[in-house]
Amino acid sequence: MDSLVFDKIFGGWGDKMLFKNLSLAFESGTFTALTGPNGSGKSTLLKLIYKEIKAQGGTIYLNGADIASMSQKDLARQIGFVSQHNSSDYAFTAAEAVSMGRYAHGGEGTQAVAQAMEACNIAHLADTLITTLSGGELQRVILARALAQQGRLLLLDEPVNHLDVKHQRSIMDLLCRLTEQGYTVICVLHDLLLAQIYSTHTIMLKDGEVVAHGPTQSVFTKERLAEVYQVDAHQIFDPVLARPLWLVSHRRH
Amino acid sequence: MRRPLVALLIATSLALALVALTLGPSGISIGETIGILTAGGGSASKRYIIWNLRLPRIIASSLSGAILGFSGAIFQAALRNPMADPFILGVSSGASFGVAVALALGLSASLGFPLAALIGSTATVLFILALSSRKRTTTTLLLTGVAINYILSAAMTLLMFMNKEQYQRILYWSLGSFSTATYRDVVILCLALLAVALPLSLAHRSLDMLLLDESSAQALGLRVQRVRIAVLIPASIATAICVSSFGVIGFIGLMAPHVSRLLVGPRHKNLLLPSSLFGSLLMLASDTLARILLPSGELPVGVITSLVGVPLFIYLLRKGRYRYG
Repeated sequence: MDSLVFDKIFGGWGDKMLFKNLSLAFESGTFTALTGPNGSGKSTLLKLIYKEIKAQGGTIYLNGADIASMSQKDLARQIGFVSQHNSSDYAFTAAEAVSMGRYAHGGEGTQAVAQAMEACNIAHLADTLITTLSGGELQRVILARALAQQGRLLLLDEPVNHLDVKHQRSIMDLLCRLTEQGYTVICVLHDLLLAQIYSTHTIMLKDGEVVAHGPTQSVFTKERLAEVYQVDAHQIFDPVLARPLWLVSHRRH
Repeated sequence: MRRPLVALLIATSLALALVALTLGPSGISIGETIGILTAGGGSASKRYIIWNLRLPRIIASSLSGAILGFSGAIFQAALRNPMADPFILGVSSGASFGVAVALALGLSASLGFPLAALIGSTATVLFILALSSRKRTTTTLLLTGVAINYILSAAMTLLMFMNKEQYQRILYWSLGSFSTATYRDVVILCLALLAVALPLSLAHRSLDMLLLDESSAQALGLRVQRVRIAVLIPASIATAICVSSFGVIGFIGLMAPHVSRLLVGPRHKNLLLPSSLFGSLLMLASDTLARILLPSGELPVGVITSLVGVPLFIYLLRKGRYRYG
Protein backbone atom coordinates (compact mmCIF):
# COMPACT_ATOMS: atom_id res chain seq x y z
CA MET A 1 0.00 0.00 0.00
CA ASP A 2 1.26 3.49 -0.82
CA SER A 3 1.43 5.72 2.24
CA LEU A 4 2.40 8.87 0.35
CA VAL A 5 1.41 9.88 -3.17
CA PHE A 6 2.39 12.95 -5.20
CA ASP A 7 -0.24 13.52 -7.87
CA LYS A 8 0.76 15.97 -10.63
CA ILE A 9 2.55 18.35 -8.28
CA PHE A 10 3.70 21.80 -9.33
CA GLY A 11 5.83 23.73 -6.86
CA GLY A 12 9.13 25.18 -5.78
CA TRP A 13 10.77 28.06 -3.93
CA GLY A 14 9.46 31.57 -4.58
CA ASP A 15 8.95 32.21 -8.27
CA LYS A 16 11.05 29.22 -9.33
CA MET A 17 8.78 26.36 -10.38
CA LEU A 18 11.09 23.41 -9.74
CA PHE A 19 8.55 20.60 -9.98
CA LYS A 20 6.27 20.51 -13.00
CA ASN A 21 3.70 17.75 -13.03
CA LEU A 22 5.59 15.53 -10.57
CA SER A 23 3.92 12.21 -9.75
CA LEU A 24 5.40 9.75 -7.24
CA ALA A 25 4.27 7.05 -4.85
CA PHE A 26 6.02 5.84 -1.70
CA GLU A 27 5.15 2.35 -0.51
CA SER A 28 4.64 1.70 3.21
CA GLY A 29 7.54 0.04 5.00
CA THR A 30 10.18 1.10 2.49
CA PHE A 31 13.36 3.11 2.92
CA THR A 32 13.65 5.53 0.02
CA ALA A 33 16.87 7.46 -0.57
CA LEU A 34 16.37 10.84 -2.26
CA THR A 35 19.48 11.53 -4.29
CA GLY A 36 20.56 14.05 -6.87
CA PRO A 37 22.95 16.97 -7.28
CA ASN A 38 22.67 20.19 -5.27
CA GLY A 39 19.62 22.16 -6.34
CA SER A 40 17.86 19.15 -7.85
CA GLY A 41 14.91 19.49 -5.45
CA LYS A 42 15.54 16.90 -2.73
CA SER A 43 14.94 19.14 0.29
CA THR A 44 12.19 21.03 -1.55
CA LEU A 45 10.36 17.75 -2.06
CA LEU A 46 10.43 17.14 1.71
CA LYS A 47 9.26 20.71 2.41
CA LEU A 48 6.23 20.11 0.17
CA ILE A 49 5.30 17.09 2.31
CA TYR A 50 5.35 18.88 5.66
CA LYS A 51 3.96 22.06 4.07
CA GLU A 52 6.81 24.46 4.66
CA ILE A 53 6.22 25.10 0.97
CA LYS A 54 2.75 24.86 -0.45
CA ALA A 55 2.25 23.03 -3.75
CA GLN A 56 0.99 25.41 -6.45
CA GLY A 57 -0.82 22.66 -8.26
CA GLY A 58 -1.71 18.99 -7.81
CA THR A 59 -2.37 17.01 -4.66
CA ILE A 60 -0.24 15.19 -2.09
CA TYR A 61 -2.05 12.32 -0.37
CA LEU A 62 -0.90 10.99 3.00
CA ASN A 63 -2.59 7.68 3.83
CA GLY A 64 -5.32 8.62 1.38
CA ALA A 65 -6.00 12.12 2.75
CA ASP A 66 -5.14 15.35 0.92
CA ILE A 67 -2.50 17.12 3.06
CA ALA A 68 -3.82 20.52 1.96
CA SER A 69 -6.93 19.86 4.06
CA MET A 70 -4.90 18.78 7.10
CA SER A 71 -3.83 21.20 9.85
CA GLN A 72 -0.13 21.59 10.57
CA LYS A 73 -0.62 19.71 13.84
CA ASP A 74 -2.53 16.87 12.14
CA LEU A 75 0.36 16.52 9.75
CA ALA A 76 2.95 16.61 12.56
CA ARG A 77 1.16 13.73 14.29
CA GLN A 78 1.64 11.59 11.17
CA ILE A 79 5.10 12.64 9.98
CA GLY A 80 8.37 12.65 11.93
CA PHE A 81 11.02 15.04 10.63
CA VAL A 82 14.79 15.40 10.99
CA SER A 83 16.15 18.68 9.66
CA GLN A 84 19.63 19.15 8.24
CA HIS A 85 20.20 22.13 10.61
CA ASN A 86 20.35 20.70 14.09
CA SER A 87 22.97 22.60 16.02
CA SER A 88 21.53 24.16 19.14
CA ASP A 89 22.63 27.19 21.09
CA TYR A 90 19.89 26.76 23.67
CA ALA A 91 20.65 24.51 26.61
CA PHE A 92 17.63 22.23 26.67
CA THR A 93 18.16 18.82 28.20
CA ALA A 94 17.95 15.90 25.79
CA ALA A 95 14.59 14.87 27.29
CA GLU A 96 13.22 18.40 26.86
CA ALA A 97 14.42 18.47 23.24
CA VAL A 98 12.77 15.11 22.50
CA SER A 99 9.55 16.22 24.20
CA MET A 100 9.22 18.96 21.57
CA GLY A 101 8.17 16.12 19.29
CA ARG A 102 4.97 16.01 21.35
CA TYR A 103 4.01 19.62 20.55
CA ALA A 104 1.27 18.63 18.12
CA HIS A 105 -0.16 16.10 20.58
CA GLY A 106 -0.36 18.52 23.52
CA GLY A 107 0.83 17.50 26.98
CA GLU A 108 4.24 16.18 27.92
CA GLY A 109 3.80 12.65 26.53
CA THR A 110 6.31 11.30 29.03
CA GLN A 111 5.90 7.68 27.96
CA ALA A 112 6.23 8.40 24.24
CA VAL A 113 9.35 10.48 24.93
CA ALA A 114 10.89 7.71 27.02
CA GLN A 115 10.13 5.10 24.32
CA ALA A 116 11.62 7.28 21.59
CA MET A 117 14.78 7.86 23.63
CA GLU A 118 15.03 4.15 24.34
CA ALA A 119 14.68 3.32 20.63
CA CYS A 120 17.52 5.72 19.82
CA ASN A 121 19.65 4.44 22.71
CA ILE A 122 19.90 7.83 24.41
CA ALA A 123 17.88 7.19 27.59
CA HIS A 124 21.07 7.69 29.61
CA LEU A 125 21.41 11.21 28.16
CA ALA A 126 17.97 12.39 29.31
CA ASP A 127 19.28 15.05 31.70
CA THR A 128 22.31 16.05 29.63
CA LEU A 129 22.28 19.50 28.03
CA ILE A 130 22.16 19.20 24.25
CA THR A 131 24.75 21.96 23.95
CA THR A 132 27.28 19.52 25.42
CA LEU A 133 26.45 16.53 23.19
CA SER A 134 28.64 15.25 20.35
CA GLY A 135 27.30 15.51 16.79
CA GLY A 136 26.32 11.82 16.77
CA GLU A 137 24.51 12.05 20.12
CA LEU A 138 22.69 15.21 19.07
CA GLN A 139 21.55 13.56 15.84
CA ARG A 140 20.10 10.68 17.88
CA VAL A 141 18.25 13.20 20.03
CA ILE A 142 16.76 14.81 16.92
CA LEU A 143 15.81 11.39 15.55
CA ALA A 144 14.19 10.52 18.91
CA ARG A 145 12.25 13.81 18.67
CA ALA A 146 10.97 12.69 15.26
CA LEU A 147 9.95 9.29 16.69
CA ALA A 148 8.17 11.04 19.59
CA GLN A 149 5.89 12.61 16.96
CA GLN A 150 4.56 9.05 16.57
CA GLY A 151 3.96 9.27 12.84
CA ARG A 152 4.73 6.23 10.71
CA LEU A 153 6.35 8.33 7.99
CA LEU A 154 9.85 9.64 8.69
CA LEU A 155 11.42 12.43 6.61
CA LEU A 156 15.13 13.01 7.06
CA ASP A 157 17.17 15.71 5.36
CA GLU A 158 20.82 14.64 5.19
CA PRO A 159 20.78 13.06 8.66
CA VAL A 160 24.37 11.80 8.64
CA ASN A 161 26.18 14.82 7.23
CA HIS A 162 29.09 15.91 9.42
CA LEU A 163 29.07 12.60 11.33
CA ASP A 164 32.02 10.24 11.54
CA VAL A 165 31.65 6.78 9.98
CA LYS A 166 30.77 5.05 13.24
CA HIS A 167 27.91 7.44 13.95
CA GLN A 168 26.83 7.35 10.31
CA ARG A 169 26.55 3.59 10.55
CA SER A 170 24.61 3.61 13.80
CA ILE A 171 22.07 6.16 12.50
CA MET A 172 21.63 4.29 9.21
CA ASP A 173 21.27 0.95 11.04
CA LEU A 174 18.61 2.52 13.24
CA LEU A 175 16.70 3.76 10.17
CA CYS A 176 16.83 0.24 8.70
CA ARG A 177 15.47 -1.25 11.92
CA LEU A 178 12.63 1.30 11.90
CA THR A 179 11.81 0.35 8.30
CA GLU A 180 11.63 -3.28 9.35
CA GLN A 181 9.20 -2.24 12.10
CA GLY A 182 6.89 -0.77 9.45
CA TYR A 183 8.01 2.85 9.28
CA THR A 184 8.19 4.48 5.85
CA VAL A 185 11.51 6.32 5.62
CA ILE A 186 12.31 9.03 3.06
CA CYS A 187 15.86 10.22 3.46
CA VAL A 188 17.86 12.83 1.53
CA LEU A 189 21.35 11.42 1.06
CA HIS A 190 24.37 12.92 -0.67
CA ASP A 191 26.50 9.87 0.02
CA LEU A 192 25.65 7.50 -2.84
CA LEU A 193 27.39 4.58 -1.16
CA LEU A 194 25.16 4.89 1.92
CA ALA A 195 22.12 5.12 -0.36
CA GLN A 196 23.09 1.88 -2.10
CA ILE A 197 23.88 0.04 1.13
CA TYR A 198 20.91 1.01 3.26
CA SER A 199 17.91 2.05 1.14
CA THR A 200 15.37 -0.31 -0.37
CA HIS A 201 14.35 2.24 -3.00
CA THR A 202 16.02 5.27 -4.56
CA ILE A 203 14.75 8.36 -6.33
CA MET A 204 17.30 10.17 -8.46
CA LEU A 205 16.38 13.78 -9.14
CA LYS A 206 17.81 16.29 -11.57
CA ASP A 207 16.45 19.84 -11.96
CA GLY A 208 13.16 18.83 -10.37
CA GLU A 209 12.65 15.87 -12.70
CA VAL A 210 12.62 12.26 -11.52
CA VAL A 211 15.32 10.61 -13.62
CA ALA A 212 14.85 7.23 -11.95
CA HIS A 213 12.69 5.72 -9.19
CA GLY A 214 12.67 2.12 -8.15
CA PRO A 215 14.48 -0.57 -6.16
CA THR A 216 17.89 0.85 -5.33
CA GLN A 217 19.96 -1.69 -7.24
CA SER A 218 18.04 -0.99 -10.43
CA VAL A 219 18.42 2.80 -10.14
CA PHE A 220 22.22 2.91 -9.93
CA THR A 221 23.84 2.48 -13.34
CA LYS A 222 26.97 3.92 -14.89
CA GLU A 223 24.97 5.80 -17.52
CA ARG A 224 22.54 7.28 -14.99
CA LEU A 225 25.31 8.51 -12.70
CA ALA A 226 26.97 10.12 -15.71
CA GLU A 227 23.68 11.73 -16.79
CA VAL A 228 22.65 13.03 -13.35
CA TYR A 229 25.99 13.87 -11.73
CA GLN A 230 28.29 14.19 -14.76
CA VAL A 231 30.79 11.77 -13.19
CA ASP A 232 32.43 8.54 -14.19
CA ALA A 233 31.62 5.54 -12.04
CA HIS A 234 32.89 2.02 -11.69
CA GLN A 235 31.55 -1.07 -10.02
CA ILE A 236 33.17 -2.98 -7.17
CA PHE A 237 32.07 -6.11 -5.40
CA ASP A 238 31.50 -5.72 -1.64
CA PRO A 239 32.31 -9.07 -0.01
CA VAL A 240 30.48 -8.16 3.20
CA LEU A 241 27.22 -7.27 1.47
CA ALA A 242 27.90 -9.90 -1.19
CA ARG A 243 26.71 -7.58 -3.95
CA PRO A 244 28.15 -5.00 -6.33
CA LEU A 245 28.21 -1.27 -5.55
CA TRP A 246 28.82 1.72 -7.78
CA LEU A 247 31.68 4.03 -6.83
CA VAL A 248 32.39 7.44 -8.29
CA SER A 249 35.78 7.27 -9.99
CA HIS A 250 38.24 9.73 -8.48
CA ARG A 251 41.50 10.42 -10.26
CA ARG A 252 44.34 12.56 -8.96
CA HIS A 253 45.87 14.82 -11.57
CA MET B 1 15.85 26.27 40.97
CA ARG B 2 12.92 28.26 39.62
CA ARG B 3 10.82 28.47 42.78
CA PRO B 4 13.62 29.51 45.14
CA LEU B 5 14.80 32.01 42.54
CA VAL B 6 11.33 33.51 42.15
CA ALA B 7 10.92 33.72 45.92
CA LEU B 8 14.34 35.35 46.26
CA LEU B 9 13.62 37.87 43.51
CA ILE B 10 10.24 38.81 45.00
CA ALA B 11 11.70 39.16 48.51
CA THR B 12 14.64 41.24 47.26
CA SER B 13 12.33 43.49 45.21
CA LEU B 14 10.02 44.09 48.20
CA ALA B 15 12.98 44.85 50.47
CA LEU B 16 14.49 47.19 47.90
CA ALA B 17 11.14 48.89 47.37
CA LEU B 18 10.86 49.52 51.10
CA VAL B 19 14.38 50.97 51.22
CA ALA B 20 13.70 53.03 48.10
CA LEU B 21 10.63 54.54 49.79
CA THR B 22 12.90 55.96 52.50
CA LEU B 23 15.48 57.43 50.14
CA GLY B 24 15.29 60.96 48.82
CA PRO B 25 15.83 64.59 49.78
CA SER B 26 13.22 64.37 52.57
CA GLY B 27 14.70 62.03 55.11
CA ILE B 28 12.02 59.52 56.16
CA SER B 29 13.14 56.56 58.24
CA ILE B 30 12.08 52.97 57.60
CA GLY B 31 10.03 53.00 60.79
CA GLU B 32 8.19 56.16 59.71
CA THR B 33 7.67 54.74 56.24
CA ILE B 34 6.15 51.52 57.57
CA GLY B 35 3.98 53.61 59.88
CA ILE B 36 2.76 55.76 56.97
CA LEU B 37 2.04 52.71 54.83
CA THR B 38 0.26 50.67 57.51
CA ALA B 39 -1.32 53.05 60.01
CA GLY B 40 -1.49 56.36 58.14
CA GLY B 41 0.96 57.96 60.59
CA GLY B 42 3.51 60.71 59.89
CA SER B 43 3.04 64.31 58.87
CA ALA B 44 0.82 65.25 55.94
CA SER B 45 3.82 66.26 53.83
CA LYS B 46 5.59 62.95 54.48
CA ARG B 47 2.42 61.00 53.74
CA TYR B 48 2.13 62.91 50.48
CA ILE B 49 5.75 62.17 49.56
CA ILE B 50 5.40 58.46 50.30
CA TRP B 51 1.95 57.87 48.83
CA ASN B 52 1.90 60.32 45.91
CA LEU B 53 5.50 60.70 44.82
CA ARG B 54 7.66 57.74 45.75
CA LEU B 55 5.22 54.80 45.79
CA PRO B 56 3.73 55.34 42.31
CA ARG B 57 7.25 55.87 40.98
CA ILE B 58 8.54 52.66 42.55
CA ILE B 59 5.59 50.62 41.30
CA ALA B 60 5.80 52.18 37.81
CA SER B 61 9.53 51.50 37.48
CA SER B 62 9.06 47.92 38.70
CA LEU B 63 6.20 47.28 36.28
CA SER B 64 8.14 48.83 33.38
CA GLY B 65 11.12 46.62 34.17
CA ALA B 66 8.85 43.59 34.30
CA ILE B 67 7.36 44.44 30.90
CA LEU B 68 10.80 44.98 29.35
CA GLY B 69 12.19 41.76 30.89
CA PHE B 70 9.17 39.77 29.71
CA SER B 71 9.13 41.34 26.25
CA GLY B 72 12.88 40.79 25.90
CA ALA B 73 12.39 37.05 26.36
CA ILE B 74 9.58 37.09 23.78
CA PHE B 75 11.66 39.04 21.24
CA GLN B 76 14.69 36.78 21.66
CA ALA B 77 12.51 33.71 21.04
CA ALA B 78 10.42 35.12 18.21
CA LEU B 79 13.46 36.44 16.35
CA ARG B 80 15.62 33.47 17.40
CA ASN B 81 18.38 35.92 18.15
CA PRO B 82 20.20 36.48 21.44
CA MET B 83 20.96 40.09 20.49
CA ALA B 84 17.29 40.96 20.13
CA ASP B 85 15.71 43.33 22.62
CA PRO B 86 12.24 44.87 22.73
CA PHE B 87 13.46 47.93 20.81
CA ILE B 88 14.86 46.10 17.82
CA LEU B 89 11.72 46.40 15.71
CA GLY B 90 11.58 50.18 15.95
CA VAL B 91 9.66 50.76 19.19
CA SER B 92 12.20 53.26 20.54
CA SER B 93 13.06 55.08 17.32
CA GLY B 94 9.36 55.19 16.40
CA ALA B 95 8.49 56.67 19.78
CA SER B 96 11.23 59.30 19.56
CA PHE B 97 10.21 60.13 16.01
CA GLY B 98 6.57 60.47 17.10
CA VAL B 99 7.58 62.94 19.80
CA ALA B 100 9.81 64.89 17.42
CA VAL B 101 7.02 65.11 14.83
CA ALA B 102 4.52 66.25 17.48
CA LEU B 103 6.95 68.97 18.59
CA ALA B 104 7.71 70.06 15.04
CA LEU B 105 4.00 70.31 14.21
CA GLY B 106 3.23 72.11 17.46
CA LEU B 107 1.00 69.25 18.62
CA SER B 108 2.95 68.32 21.74
CA ALA B 109 0.76 70.43 24.03
CA SER B 110 -2.53 68.94 22.81
CA LEU B 111 -1.29 65.42 22.13
CA GLY B 112 1.27 65.07 24.93
CA PHE B 113 4.58 63.20 24.70
CA PRO B 114 3.22 59.80 25.75
CA LEU B 115 0.46 59.63 23.17
CA ALA B 116 2.72 60.93 20.39
CA ALA B 117 5.34 58.34 21.35
CA LEU B 118 2.79 55.54 21.55
CA ILE B 119 1.40 56.37 18.10
CA GLY B 120 4.93 56.62 16.66
CA SER B 121 6.18 53.36 18.12
CA THR B 122 3.10 51.27 17.39
CA ALA B 123 2.89 52.57 13.82
CA THR B 124 6.58 51.81 13.29
CA VAL B 125 6.35 48.22 14.53
CA LEU B 126 3.27 47.52 12.42
CA PHE B 127 4.95 49.13 9.42
CA ILE B 128 8.07 46.95 9.82
CA LEU B 129 5.96 43.79 10.18
CA ALA B 130 3.94 44.72 7.10
CA LEU B 131 7.07 45.58 5.13
CA SER B 132 8.59 42.17 5.77
CA SER B 133 5.32 40.26 5.47
CA ARG B 134 6.10 38.69 2.11
CA LYS B 135 9.28 37.01 3.26
CA ARG B 136 8.89 36.94 7.01
CA THR B 137 12.09 35.21 8.03
CA THR B 138 13.80 36.35 11.21
CA THR B 139 16.67 37.79 9.18
CA THR B 140 14.34 39.84 6.99
CA LEU B 141 12.50 41.11 10.05
CA LEU B 142 15.69 42.05 11.88
CA LEU B 143 17.30 43.76 8.91
CA THR B 144 14.09 45.66 8.12
CA GLY B 145 13.94 46.74 11.77
CA VAL B 146 17.56 47.90 11.74
CA ALA B 147 17.06 49.78 8.46
CA ILE B 148 13.91 51.56 9.65
CA ASN B 149 15.64 52.40 12.95
CA TYR B 150 18.37 54.17 10.95
CA ILE B 151 15.88 56.06 8.80
CA LEU B 152 13.82 57.22 11.78
CA SER B 153 16.93 58.24 13.73
CA ALA B 154 18.09 60.32 10.77
CA ALA B 155 14.63 61.86 10.36
CA MET B 156 14.47 62.65 14.07
CA THR B 157 17.90 64.27 13.98
CA LEU B 158 16.74 66.40 11.06
CA LEU B 159 13.58 67.45 12.90
CA MET B 160 15.58 68.31 16.01
CA PHE B 161 18.08 70.23 13.89
CA MET B 162 15.18 72.28 12.52
CA ASN B 163 13.76 72.80 16.04
CA LYS B 164 16.89 73.36 18.06
CA GLU B 165 15.08 74.90 21.00
CA GLN B 166 13.20 71.63 21.53
CA TYR B 167 16.33 69.47 21.35
CA GLN B 168 16.88 69.45 25.12
CA ARG B 169 13.32 68.31 25.83
CA ILE B 170 13.47 65.38 23.40
CA LEU B 171 16.91 64.36 24.57
CA TYR B 172 15.90 64.34 28.23
CA TRP B 173 12.68 62.45 27.49
CA SER B 174 14.47 59.87 25.36
CA LEU B 175 17.01 59.12 28.11
CA GLY B 176 14.22 57.92 30.34
CA SER B 177 12.90 58.97 33.74
CA PHE B 178 10.18 57.87 36.14
CA SER B 179 10.00 61.26 37.85
CA THR B 180 6.55 61.96 36.42
CA ALA B 181 5.01 58.59 37.35
CA THR B 182 1.46 58.67 38.70
CA TYR B 183 -1.10 56.05 39.74
CA ARG B 184 -2.68 56.48 36.33
CA ASP B 185 0.59 55.23 34.82
CA VAL B 186 0.62 52.38 37.33
CA VAL B 187 -2.85 51.26 36.25
CA ILE B 188 -1.96 51.47 32.55
CA LEU B 189 1.31 49.54 33.04
CA CYS B 190 -0.42 46.94 35.19
CA LEU B 191 -3.05 46.34 32.52
CA ALA B 192 -0.39 46.20 29.80
CA LEU B 193 1.65 43.65 31.77
CA LEU B 194 -1.38 41.47 32.45
CA ALA B 195 -2.59 41.71 28.86
CA VAL B 196 0.74 40.58 27.47
CA ALA B 197 1.97 38.20 30.20
CA LEU B 198 -1.12 36.06 30.74
CA PRO B 199 -1.76 34.88 27.17
CA LEU B 200 1.90 34.64 26.20
CA SER B 201 2.79 32.66 29.33
CA LEU B 202 0.15 30.13 28.32
CA ALA B 203 1.90 29.88 24.93
CA HIS B 204 5.20 28.81 26.52
CA ARG B 205 5.49 25.64 24.45
CA SER B 206 5.06 27.57 21.20
CA LEU B 207 7.78 29.98 22.36
CA ASP B 208 10.11 27.02 22.97
CA MET B 209 9.38 25.79 19.46
CA LEU B 210 10.33 29.17 17.99
CA LEU B 211 13.90 28.52 19.16
CA LEU B 212 14.19 25.64 16.67
CA ASP B 213 15.15 26.07 13.04
CA GLU B 214 12.07 27.04 11.02
CA SER B 215 11.84 23.77 9.11
CA SER B 216 11.81 21.68 12.29
CA ALA B 217 9.32 23.94 14.07
CA GLN B 218 6.97 23.80 11.06
CA ALA B 219 7.29 20.01 10.76
CA LEU B 220 6.60 19.61 14.48
CA GLY B 221 3.26 21.38 14.03
CA LEU B 222 3.96 25.07 14.68
CA ARG B 223 2.69 27.67 12.22
CA VAL B 224 5.91 29.58 12.59
CA GLN B 225 5.16 32.88 10.86
CA ARG B 226 1.69 33.22 12.36
CA VAL B 227 2.89 32.50 15.90
CA ARG B 228 5.90 34.81 15.51
CA ILE B 229 3.70 37.76 14.59
CA ALA B 230 1.10 36.83 17.21
CA VAL B 231 3.68 37.09 20.01
CA LEU B 232 5.62 40.06 18.64
CA ILE B 233 2.67 42.44 18.33
CA PRO B 234 1.50 42.37 21.98
CA ALA B 235 5.10 42.43 23.29
CA SER B 236 5.84 45.43 21.07
CA ILE B 237 2.74 47.33 22.14
CA ALA B 238 3.43 46.69 25.84
CA THR B 239 6.99 47.95 25.33
CA ALA B 240 5.65 50.97 23.43
CA ILE B 241 3.45 51.82 26.41
CA CYS B 242 6.52 51.85 28.71
CA VAL B 243 8.59 53.89 26.28
CA SER B 244 5.81 56.38 25.63
CA SER B 245 5.48 57.25 29.31
CA PHE B 246 9.04 57.01 30.56
CA GLY B 247 11.40 57.16 27.57
CA VAL B 248 13.87 54.70 26.15
CA ILE B 249 15.51 52.65 28.88
CA GLY B 250 17.93 50.27 27.26
CA PHE B 251 19.62 47.04 28.22
CA ILE B 252 17.08 45.60 30.69
CA GLY B 253 15.10 43.91 27.91
CA LEU B 254 18.33 42.37 26.64
CA MET B 255 19.91 41.42 29.95
CA ALA B 256 17.02 40.11 32.08
CA PRO B 257 16.20 37.15 29.78
CA HIS B 258 19.87 36.18 29.45
CA VAL B 259 20.53 36.23 33.19
CA SER B 260 17.34 34.27 33.83
CA ARG B 261 18.17 31.71 31.14
CA LEU B 262 21.55 31.25 32.76
CA LEU B 263 19.83 30.29 36.00
CA VAL B 264 16.69 28.40 34.94
CA GLY B 265 17.44 27.24 31.39
CA PRO B 266 15.76 28.14 28.11
CA ARG B 267 12.26 26.66 28.63
CA HIS B 268 9.78 29.52 28.61
CA LYS B 269 7.62 27.79 31.18
CA ASN B 270 10.45 28.43 33.65
CA LEU B 271 11.94 31.53 32.05
CA LEU B 272 9.21 34.15 31.65
CA LEU B 273 8.47 34.85 35.32
CA PRO B 274 12.12 35.14 36.45
CA SER B 275 12.87 37.30 33.41
CA SER B 276 10.05 39.69 34.37
CA LEU B 277 11.14 39.73 38.02
CA PHE B 278 14.78 40.34 37.09
CA GLY B 279 13.73 43.18 34.80
CA SER B 280 11.60 44.61 37.57
CA LEU B 281 14.39 44.39 40.17
CA LEU B 282 17.02 45.86 37.82
CA MET B 283 14.77 48.77 36.87
CA LEU B 284 13.85 49.54 40.48
CA ALA B 285 17.50 49.43 41.54
CA SER B 286 18.55 51.62 38.60
CA ASP B 287 15.81 54.16 39.20
CA THR B 288 16.63 54.31 42.91
CA LEU B 289 20.28 54.97 42.09
CA ALA B 290 19.26 57.56 39.49
CA ARG B 291 17.30 59.38 42.21
CA ILE B 292 19.96 59.44 44.91
CA LEU B 293 23.38 59.54 43.22
CA LEU B 294 23.41 63.29 42.56
CA PRO B 295 23.20 65.68 45.50
CA SER B 296 20.57 67.63 43.60
CA GLY B 297 18.59 66.57 40.54
CA GLU B 298 18.51 63.14 38.94
CA LEU B 299 20.46 61.07 36.48
CA PRO B 300 18.64 59.57 33.49
CA VAL B 301 17.74 56.01 34.49
CA GLY B 302 18.90 54.65 31.10
CA VAL B 303 22.44 55.74 31.96
CA ILE B 304 22.35 53.72 35.18
CA THR B 305 20.90 50.57 33.59
CA SER B 306 23.76 50.51 31.11
CA LEU B 307 26.56 51.54 33.48
CA VAL B 308 25.59 49.02 36.16
CA GLY B 309 24.12 46.35 33.93
CA VAL B 310 26.81 45.95 31.29
CA PRO B 311 29.72 45.00 33.61
CA LEU B 312 27.47 42.58 35.51
CA PHE B 313 26.26 41.08 32.26
CA ILE B 314 29.75 40.60 30.86
CA TYR B 315 30.86 39.02 34.15
CA LEU B 316 27.97 36.53 34.01
CA LEU B 317 28.63 35.68 30.37
CA ARG B 318 32.30 35.01 31.06
CA LYS B 319 31.66 33.08 34.26
CA GLY B 320 29.91 29.97 32.97
CA ARG B 321 29.74 27.84 29.86
CA TYR B 322 26.78 29.92 28.83
CA ARG B 323 25.96 30.16 25.15
CA TYR B 324 22.43 31.53 24.86
CA GLY B 325 20.71 29.23 27.23
